[in-house]
Amino acid sequence: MHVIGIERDVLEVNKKIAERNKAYFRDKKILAVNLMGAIGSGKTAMIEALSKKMQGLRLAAIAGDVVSDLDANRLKKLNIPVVGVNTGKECHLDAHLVEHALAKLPIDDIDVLFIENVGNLICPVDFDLGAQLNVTIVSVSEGDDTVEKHPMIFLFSDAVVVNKTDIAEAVEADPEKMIDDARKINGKIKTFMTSIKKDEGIDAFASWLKDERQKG
Amino acid sequence: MHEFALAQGILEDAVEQAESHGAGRITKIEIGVGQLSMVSIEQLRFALDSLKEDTMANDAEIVIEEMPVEISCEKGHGSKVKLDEPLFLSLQKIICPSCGEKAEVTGGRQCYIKNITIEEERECM
Repeated sequence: MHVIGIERDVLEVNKKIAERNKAYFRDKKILAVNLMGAIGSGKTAMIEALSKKMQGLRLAAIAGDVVSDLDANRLKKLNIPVVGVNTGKECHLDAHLVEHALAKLPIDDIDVLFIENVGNLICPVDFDLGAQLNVTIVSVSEGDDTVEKHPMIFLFSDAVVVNKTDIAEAVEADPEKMIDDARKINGKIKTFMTSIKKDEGIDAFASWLKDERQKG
Repeated sequence: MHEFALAQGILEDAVEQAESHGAGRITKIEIGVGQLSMVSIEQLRFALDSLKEDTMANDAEIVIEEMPVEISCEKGHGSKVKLDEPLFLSLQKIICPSCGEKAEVTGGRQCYIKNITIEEERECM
């Protein structure tokens, strides 16, 4: 009987593909944005809203869903290249699924690629996709203790978007608290408050994305 | 809930390594899960116990250890700490144990096989 030291991370395969994706995005001068958030937080609606604010940039999207192509079909109406990815039983996109989806996109004609993750605040945290920006959208209707309950996704996000602020009063949620909570655990996180319905805050979010693309 | 997929990866890796060392069976698999990984240790254990049945690890003892969070302070000291629950509070006040300065998280999201213990084929007979 003997002991074999292995010391191998089972997430290593994903990390390696994520690094490959990241290098590919850099090479092709694409800003890839991993858009995470719970079911119903407004991820698809945010891409729709951003598309109006980012005219002049060539957008594309990968829409992840457990099953169905509802989100992908919505995004196709924006007349941008869209690839729907069904994860089957998995609760998150991984770098391998993204790499496959990239092969179906007109990669030389994209400036900004939105990767809409599966609706979930937990599992996507463990799977780097290789996107330059990780953004988490959280709607006030999820409750203003959502950031407290899911600190990890905000710890590892570059930006948080507190969405649906127009209904904050109706659902008795304090959007400022959600922003403060995110800042408490991640001093570097960029913060935005948005209402897609009232077209508030989308300009600021879009212009940050444009700036980030300029930085390369 | 990606513990089953991870458990599958762990078992495949463990069996591959064991076979390359001429093992007849695996008696123990030791795993480390970072405190900041979203992997549930109990679910991972359940998944491994369910999936190991048809493999050479069917009797293997599964040992899963929660690994501390890696931090680094402004002065550049690196260290490893266990954070108290709730994490939302403890993440706000990570202090370097060497100098007392505020520190940032640098690691603690891993899920890896540390060791496996095997019995060689002739030992099993």
